[in-house]
Amino acid sequence: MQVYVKLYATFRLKYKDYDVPGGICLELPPGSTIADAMQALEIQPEKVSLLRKNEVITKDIHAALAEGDVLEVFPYVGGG
Amino acid sequence: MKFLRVDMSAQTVKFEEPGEAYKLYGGRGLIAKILTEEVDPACDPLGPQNKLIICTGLLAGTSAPTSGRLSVGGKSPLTGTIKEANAGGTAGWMMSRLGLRAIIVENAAPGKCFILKVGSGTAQLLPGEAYAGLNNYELVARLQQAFGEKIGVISIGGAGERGYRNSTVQITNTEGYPSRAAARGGLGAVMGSKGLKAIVLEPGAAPVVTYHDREKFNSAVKSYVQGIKAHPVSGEAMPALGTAVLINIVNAMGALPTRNFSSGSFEGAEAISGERLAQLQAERGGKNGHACQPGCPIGCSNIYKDEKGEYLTSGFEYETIALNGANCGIASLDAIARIDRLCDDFGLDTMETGTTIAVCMEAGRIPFGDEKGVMALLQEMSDGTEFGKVLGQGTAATGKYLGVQRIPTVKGQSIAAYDPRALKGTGVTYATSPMGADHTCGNSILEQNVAPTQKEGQVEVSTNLQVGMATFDSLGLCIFSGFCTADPANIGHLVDMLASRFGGAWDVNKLFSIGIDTLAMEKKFNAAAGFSKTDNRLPRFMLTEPLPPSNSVFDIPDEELDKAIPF
Ligand code: SF4
Repeated sequence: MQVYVKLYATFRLKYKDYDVPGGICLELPPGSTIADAMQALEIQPEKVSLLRKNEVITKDIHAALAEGDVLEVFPYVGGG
Repeated sequence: MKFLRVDMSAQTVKFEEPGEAYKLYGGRGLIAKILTEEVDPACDPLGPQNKLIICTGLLAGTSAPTSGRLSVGGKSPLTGTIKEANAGGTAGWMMSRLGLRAIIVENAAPGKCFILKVGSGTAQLLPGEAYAGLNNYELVARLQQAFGEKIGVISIGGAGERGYRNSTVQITNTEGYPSRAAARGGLGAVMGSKGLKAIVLEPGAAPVVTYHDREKFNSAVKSYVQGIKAHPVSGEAMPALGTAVLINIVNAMGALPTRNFSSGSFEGAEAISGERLAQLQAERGGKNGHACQPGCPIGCSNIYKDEKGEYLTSGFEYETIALNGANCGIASLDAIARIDRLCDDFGLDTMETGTTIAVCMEAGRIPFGDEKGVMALLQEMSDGTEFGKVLGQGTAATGKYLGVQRIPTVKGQSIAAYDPRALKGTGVTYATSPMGADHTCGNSILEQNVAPTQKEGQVEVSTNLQVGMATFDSLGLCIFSGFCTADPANIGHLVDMLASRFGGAWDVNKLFSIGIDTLAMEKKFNAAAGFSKTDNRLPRFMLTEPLPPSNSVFDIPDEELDKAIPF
């Protein structure tokens, strides 16, 4: 199945030709979880401050993903 | 480190040794001490009884990272409360090089215009008529011509001269641009009311600082810098992307003020994000990772170039972008950068300006998203038209004038770029800070244990943050150097710095007692100025109007708010 992962801040900087607004299209086996998607992109869960699946905030990295899901992954950021 | 007292009525200057009683006061704490001891809290903020205090923090002049922060204070003409606004730039660093802890500007020379020139052990009030009416960029360029390129400048533009209650005191950065601002609370108008247009600081020489144990100090600084660099925010995200990195995440949290705080999510967020800003400036030859003051290992600042690759502005920050962008329905970084430049030049608080403009948009004066309309309103402020003068009194005054119900202010100062309905810890700070709505007094954005829309636990979160921020503002350190204090080892390095600088027994409690004492003095000043707990409230629409998309309201009861900062 295909899912889309949108990366933000320093996570995005690793990808030179990162596509805004599409994100990264990942091909994953059916039944894959958010954790699997993050592993495929070499993102360590402890470096993630906020996750959204289909625009809803979630903390459950073991939640299953479905075809076409959009995942958004944010590292720690601050300032202002 | 000396005090320099400047009497604007008599036009005299006097250097003073502050004495032992002031030894452990700096920055925000020193401002609170001087104001509570010397200024009648009931005074007219724009009258001769008020004092303008410009000072450095306890660690100024040392190698402690970001220790050149400059605090500016007085009674605020915007809020009527005590006020400390601090800024980066080079002036704090230069004051230390001139052996100064504080410049205290007293009395007033109404209708006159002076320049205060400060060298090593010298200070003179010079006639400034030739500079009257100039805005900050041209003023600084002319002062550099007259006094040399290496000077530091603390100045006001036309807004401060006109007595606008949303006016800033601007400070030159490492490039010599007047782009750093002690922005909040209208302190520019206090400086203007004194008849003081600018303070010119000579570059001076390496600061003379005495240490109880120099070697221990250096080693604590080294460890603390390592802590800053190892932290993902101060070590990675901020140097790469600046504070604007917050746009996308605050938007995803549903807390990005949009169209006068009517939504927490803006469809144009990506276009005004830190990621976009960094990409754009890499293409145009601008700069991210810029340090606003010498000795900053973070460098959250930037140099922003326009479409033609020419300098437009610097220190272009999240709050400015969010409040003049999303909150005004504007999705163009270039448009917001032009607003930022105009604000720095004329000397307007970009935050108060963004919320004021959005209130005008809500009233139908101009449509949301109308960049040209915004520029025209800024021009009205600059020209001093009747409506321009209303705008210059800030968001609350403008909202009342236009009959707007939804006015996002606390104690007359506009809320910052986090909607408190979706970030409730920061909401408690807006409500209860002695400064009026001010995110820098305790922003819960990095809080991990208490969820942002959760009701319980926010008062404690805010109280702890407010103590921490008041401490940092008194040490004279940029609060961004403090993210790493989530690790107690780094608090230990700060304690070691204070012990080895000043001697005596120091521990964590003594460190944070600096912030607690500061807050207590500030509350005392405000109480004597007529404020009570009923002023510690958010605008009522935020308690009843759900904020899309989370549909959260601010539901922390008043009795709970009254438990915040119990000092
Ligand atoms: S972190 Fe940013 S605001 Fe703070 S001192 Fe460094 S450049 Fe200036």
